[in-house]
Amino acid sequence: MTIALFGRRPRLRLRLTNPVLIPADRIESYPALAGDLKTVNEVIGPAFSEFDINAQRAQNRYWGQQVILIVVTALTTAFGSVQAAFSHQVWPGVVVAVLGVLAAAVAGLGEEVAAQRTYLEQRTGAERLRSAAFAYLAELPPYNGHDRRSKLASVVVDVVQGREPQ
Amino acid sequence: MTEHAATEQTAAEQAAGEQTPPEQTAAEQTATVYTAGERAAQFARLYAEDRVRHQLGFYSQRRAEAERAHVQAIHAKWTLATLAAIAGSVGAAVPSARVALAIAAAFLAAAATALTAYQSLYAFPRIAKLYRDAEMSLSALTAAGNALGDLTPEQTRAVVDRVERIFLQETGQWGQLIRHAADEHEHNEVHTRS
Repeated sequence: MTIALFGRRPRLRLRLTNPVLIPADRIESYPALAGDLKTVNEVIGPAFSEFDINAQRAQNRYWGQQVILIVVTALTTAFGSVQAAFSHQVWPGVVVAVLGVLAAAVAGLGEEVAAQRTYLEQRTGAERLRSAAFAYLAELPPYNGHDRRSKLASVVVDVVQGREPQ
Repeated sequence: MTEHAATEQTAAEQAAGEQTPPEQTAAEQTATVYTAGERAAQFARLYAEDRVRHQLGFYSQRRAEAERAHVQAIHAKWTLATLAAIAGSVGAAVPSARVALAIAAAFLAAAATALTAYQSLYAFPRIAKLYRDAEMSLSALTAAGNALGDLTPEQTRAVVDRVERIFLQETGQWGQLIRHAADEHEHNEVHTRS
């Protein structure tokens, strides 16, 4: 049985998964869609890759901050007990103080909220772009008119600028 | 691709202010001879493979992972809490090891608390439920639509529209869940600190 519990733990050296919107060989496999697949790769591909990679990084950073807080808080609690047991010693009190300052510093940086927001925005953006790509291929509205390519481009611009696509 | 679609593409290229490259690939040249029906059939295959199956695989993998993680977290917390209780009891009974065992009990209890916070951060049971629900909706819809290739282009578009709504809905719920999990985790942290 694998240890799923820590399978998504934050990593110091994050190994990024290469973002794949639609595999490159699909142009050969589905020649009737070749033009549209090319358009999707050109118009959405770069923005999708950026969103996806940023989401992976932000996710790792967010989880990293949270796990540091959890560990530091747990250690502060544990060393508080050590301090009580060794009341005649100074060092447990110093450790508790250092850990307390560390916890306050990590929590007070304000980065915690920013990391979570970035993570959500980037992941949601990537998923919106993926959805737009398939809606374009399906010729769903608004991608069913003569200006479908420019409609796709404007959706990408909306997503990149954090606006709700029109 | 139909002539209509090919014209559309040309118009879109112009609208986007881009020129058609002088050298087209063989695939692009061949694409112009496909009918709307052939295009729809190819799209249906692509969509089933690269969107529906891919996403179902993702949901299934994440659900199974979250369910396993949830069970493991319960077992790990139970083990740590039990060991903390044993250390505390033995420490009380053995005066010579009282301090060492009291410290061990404190660390084990702190580890159990940390694990609880970690579990609420990742929200394993709710993630599992979210992906299970999305998996079921998607499976039901694709089963109802049967093989996408058997549908007319209009029917295929209707199914794709509904499937994409499910994906966007799942993304929205996932965002809310992450925010909620963070709030809950923060709440636990405050309790631990106080």
